[in-house]
Amino acid sequence: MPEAKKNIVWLVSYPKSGNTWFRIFLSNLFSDSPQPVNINDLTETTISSNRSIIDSYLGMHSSELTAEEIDKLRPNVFRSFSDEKEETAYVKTHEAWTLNSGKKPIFPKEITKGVLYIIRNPLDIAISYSYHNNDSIDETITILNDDSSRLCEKKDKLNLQTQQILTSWSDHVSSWIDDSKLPVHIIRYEDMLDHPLDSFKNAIDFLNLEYEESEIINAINNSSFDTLKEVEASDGFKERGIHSEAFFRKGKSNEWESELLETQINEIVKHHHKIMKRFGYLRKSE
Amino acid sequence: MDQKISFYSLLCSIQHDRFVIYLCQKSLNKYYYKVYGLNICSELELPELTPAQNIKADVTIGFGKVPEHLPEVRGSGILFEAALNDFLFKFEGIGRYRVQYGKRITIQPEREALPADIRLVLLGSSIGALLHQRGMLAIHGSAITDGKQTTILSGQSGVGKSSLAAGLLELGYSVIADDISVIGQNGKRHFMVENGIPHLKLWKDVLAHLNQADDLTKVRPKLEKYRKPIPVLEEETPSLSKIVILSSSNTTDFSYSEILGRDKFHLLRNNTYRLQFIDKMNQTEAHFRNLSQLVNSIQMFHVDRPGNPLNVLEFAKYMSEIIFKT
Repeated sequence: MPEAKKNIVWLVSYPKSGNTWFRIFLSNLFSDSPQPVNINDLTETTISSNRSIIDSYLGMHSSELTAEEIDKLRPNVFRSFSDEKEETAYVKTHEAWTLNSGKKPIFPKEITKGVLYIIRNPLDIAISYSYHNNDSIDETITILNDDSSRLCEKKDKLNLQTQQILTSWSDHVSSWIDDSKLPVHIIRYEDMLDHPLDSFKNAIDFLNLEYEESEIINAINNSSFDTLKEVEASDGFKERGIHSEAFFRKGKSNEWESELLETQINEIVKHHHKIMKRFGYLRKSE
Repeated sequence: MDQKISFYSLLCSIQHDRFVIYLCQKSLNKYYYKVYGLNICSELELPELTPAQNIKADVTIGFGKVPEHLPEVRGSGILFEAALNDFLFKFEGIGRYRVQYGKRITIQPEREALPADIRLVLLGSSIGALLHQRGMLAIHGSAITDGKQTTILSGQSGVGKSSLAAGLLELGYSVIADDISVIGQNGKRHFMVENGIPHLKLWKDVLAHLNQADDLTKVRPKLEKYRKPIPVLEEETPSLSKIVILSSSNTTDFSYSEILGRDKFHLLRNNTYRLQFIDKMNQTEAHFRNLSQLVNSIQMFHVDRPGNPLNVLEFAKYMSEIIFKT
């Protein structure tokens, strides 16, 4: 078999951690127009669980396969996808880095150009994700703390996306950063807010992309939360959860300080102390 | 030597296994069916298909040795290899299928393969390859009729084509085909859809929504997806007049628009059943010709529905009032 092309950059995050924001930034950066891109037509990126793409490479309906069978075939799907590309493909994923039942990584090393891992304080994810799913904060904390969390898991219905192994927040972080042995660049959501130029510029450097500072600043401005909220209010956004009022809600950090109960904070910190400490998400008293 | 005995010996030499021997014994029989306008003679019993009798077969299906690779490969995918008039599909745990000249499908099942799984691959990708080898146009979607005209419901997997067909069945429409709609001609310029497999493949949540019996057969033992039998239309199916491309979004309302101009051709092409086989089989020209002939004789619409949970009956009523009466 010929050597695989390393054409894929995985844009990875736990849900509601800034992945879509980063994708919109990239689309603006790649756009020839000085105007903001259409957020409902982000053709620059796709998602790892896209059923149509998986079906097209398999030559059969993934809807007639079990989640285990699909995951066994997906490394080859990604390889074919990478081989067909003439240039870098940016693929979003909320999945943890895991091995399939054949003990093969679902996200293979030989086709991976790099991983951009966007990390966000799980205390804020709990709030944002609960709005997205229209679930309670406590239900959302259960997802964040559960090693066996999945997306699109229901077995009695068909979803447009295939099932995704999410795991708990801590396991998700360490699966990509520690276990995968892939080249990973970590971006903190909080830094994207507080130090956007440095944060996005470092990501651009990691991706080996060459852009003038003025072009990066323009892309940051065209992807600002105020712009995105405005566009969503007028045109809608197809990635908004069916039960949530808006996808782009506040775009702030440390909302947890006023929104979470002390018991809820403790429940998250108890489960994720080690990783939270590593990324500076603990209070001094913790 | 008797041909059947010879075949039996060949197959049993492939794998000494109780299941294969069982299939060999079964294969001493011949079963006759009609689907997609084709007369089928099969050594494998196919309870999903409509039986037929005393027919001259257009297609034969049987067991035999299938190579791991084709002698010449023009193009391949993860589970298939293709050449002109030769096609191989292989699925670990189920078996290998060879489709040749649009006339013959040979199956070499794996030792642990379940009969339902063998039939699923046969009646999906293998039949899809066979239709393309024969130069037939197959659209990925379900075909519905009100008795006067036929409409195909197409769109990507998971968008609700079969569920909508089940809802329309409840409203009194007839279902001609599910998943694969094969285009035929019933007159010089009149296109129609050939009768397909007389089942709708429905997920458990849709069956529950429609209060349908839960004693249906599963498509695969491992999946909560069931086969719901549908009545077979005895008379010739009415002319095809519309193709609807379905999509879903996070809006709260249904909406539709007519598809015009070149978009019709592109959408029809993209919603061809197993499009990825065609180029690798060297059937691109025949496919282009088929699409060009069809596209000018039908209307096409895009219908967007609210995202999950899908209200099947509400969707069916919308389609009945807005699209079918347009």
